[in-house]
Amino acid sequence: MMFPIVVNRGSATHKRHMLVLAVIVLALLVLVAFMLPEYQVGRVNRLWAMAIAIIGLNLVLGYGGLFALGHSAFIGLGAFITAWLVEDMRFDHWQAIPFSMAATFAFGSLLALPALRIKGLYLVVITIAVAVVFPSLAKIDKFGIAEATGGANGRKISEEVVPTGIGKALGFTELEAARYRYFLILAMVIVVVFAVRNLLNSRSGRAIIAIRDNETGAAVSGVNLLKSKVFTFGTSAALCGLAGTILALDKSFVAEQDFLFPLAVEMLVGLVIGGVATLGGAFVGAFVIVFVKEFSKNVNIDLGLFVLDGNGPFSALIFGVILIIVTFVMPRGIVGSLKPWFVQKVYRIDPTPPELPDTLQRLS
Amino acid sequence: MAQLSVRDVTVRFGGITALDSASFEVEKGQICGLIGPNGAGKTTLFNVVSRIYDPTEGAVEFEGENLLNHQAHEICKLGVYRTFQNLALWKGLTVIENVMVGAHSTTTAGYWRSMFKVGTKKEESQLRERAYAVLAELNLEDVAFLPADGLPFGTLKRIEIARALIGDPKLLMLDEPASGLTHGEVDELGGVIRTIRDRYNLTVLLVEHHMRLVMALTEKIVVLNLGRKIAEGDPDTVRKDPVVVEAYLGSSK
Ligand SMILES: Nc1ncnc2c1ncn2[C@@H]1O[C@H](COP(=O)(O)OP(=O)(O)OP(=O)(O)O)[C@@H](O)[C@H]1O
Ligand SMILES: [Mg+2]
Repeated sequence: MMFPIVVNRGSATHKRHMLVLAVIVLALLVLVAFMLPEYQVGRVNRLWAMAIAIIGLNLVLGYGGLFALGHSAFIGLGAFITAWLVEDMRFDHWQAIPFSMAATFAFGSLLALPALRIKGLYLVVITIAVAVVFPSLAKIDKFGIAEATGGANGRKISEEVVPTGIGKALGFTELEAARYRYFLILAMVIVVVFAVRNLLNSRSGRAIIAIRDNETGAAVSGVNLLKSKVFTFGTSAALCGLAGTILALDKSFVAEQDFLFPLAVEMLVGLVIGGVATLGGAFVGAFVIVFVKEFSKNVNIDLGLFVLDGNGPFSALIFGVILIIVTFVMPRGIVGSLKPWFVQKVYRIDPTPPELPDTLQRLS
Repeated sequence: MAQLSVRDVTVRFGGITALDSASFEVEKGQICGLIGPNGAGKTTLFNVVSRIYDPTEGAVEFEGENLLNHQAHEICKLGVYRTFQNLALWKGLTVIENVMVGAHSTTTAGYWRSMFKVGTKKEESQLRERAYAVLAELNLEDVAFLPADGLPFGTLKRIEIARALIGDPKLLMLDEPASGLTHGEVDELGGVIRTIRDRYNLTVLLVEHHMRLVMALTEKIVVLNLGRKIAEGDPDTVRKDPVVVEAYLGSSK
């Protein structure tokens, strides 16, 4: 086989390759679920949730060009709403999803309104403020907020999500609840990836990118800046709300300390390391913040004078050094930097130009 | 009645008066030149018509519609499109995608339908075909799938024309389309503008410093200097107008 492999977009070969790729990826994902021990599967579930959240952040920041940095609040909001709906309103677990997403969408859209006037660093500061204030708000002992969120102690969701119906029929036991949830969450991840990808390749998605690259040009071409930004912000928040629901239901526990501002920073780190304005980057980024951070705790190098111990006072340092190295070697993130190489040397999809009409008259 | 009428438009930026009670009209189907020395207020006038700037005073009407009642993104629905002196393309999109966004107001796929591809496929593929055809009309199909970044300035200016054309304009406002072009390309551009006008039934408002092009192409010229209209008329009259000659010589001193 000759490299790079070149196919035309939409051709039979292209479609066949995509099918094969999808089968391989799905097979690997199934394999992962059954190879890993149950407690590691729980971590992968967290990875999925963070990937969805980072895709949400990417929508606003990478594609929308709006510097928002408070997405930990949206995740938290989604998680608390889920806990409240399931515990107090007796919702069936996953029924919480549409409500959690709708609420975070509304909250995100509201935040977008000032974002239309304030730009750049001011927007960063406002969104940081929201993220910083959010955990304290969630603890307020008034209006029944603390009862709903569990206040400083957090709140347990009394019934864990365990295999039922089809899950049971497929042979999942109660001891493999995390593994069962893995597949439910994976299905949501797939829907999110396709929906966002479709959006980005559509009229509305091109408008979002156009606003990022040149607002004036977008406006005179008929793009309603207000509508587009509100939608982008809202959708971004709703994806974080979904991530919050997943986190809450996977751990059966929500607590305000899990949604502090550093979570928003972690998402930004994941986004930048994975690759801004790439979809695959969200997964690489989520992997880095969920797993590499764990791995770096296992580092144990004897340097003679002292031991570089990943679990000791240097744990953050080791993770930090990894981040610095990656950013230097791959300034556009792992996916963003590898993609040009991959396209040049391994696999390329060439555009298929549409047919020109027979009546075409050239202007010169 | 004139298609576009600009009446007593004044624009002030702090202490600067960029436009000072400027008035003129453009007839349907006309190629009208808008000229004047640097800083005369030509681009400012474009920005008023396309609702990027609010005038301090004055009125702008297009086909009887008060443009000042509309927001920037609604102007193109009325058929008013423009290009930019310093380009306003989107470098994160390919050339053909840039042109496709130009048809934003004539297409309908919304956010939710786009996400789940509900009935958007046909519109999308037709839009693509149309964008490619418009690019081909302007001999730009070779760059259609390249990023709209890093191409020669003249090519980018042409892409802006394609982006405006796909929206099906009635009035096309071109802000210095000849800048950055070679002599031969300028002549070719003149032909292109005239053909576009005839084929698409357009009115053209042309801002240009390239006098030979303006004189050869326009049926009417409006001259601005320091925000004021100092002359108006057919190319021959304007060329000989002593006030105009003085303004140009004065500004190059
Ligand atoms: N946004 C703005 N803020 C402040 N001043 C402005 C702004 N836009 C334009 N001006 C000023 O208004 C005046 C007219 O500018 P304009 O760009 O309309 O001139 P022009 O006729 O297009 O000139 P050129 O031929 O150089 O493009 C200039 O003095 C310019 O500095
Ligand atoms: Mg100008």
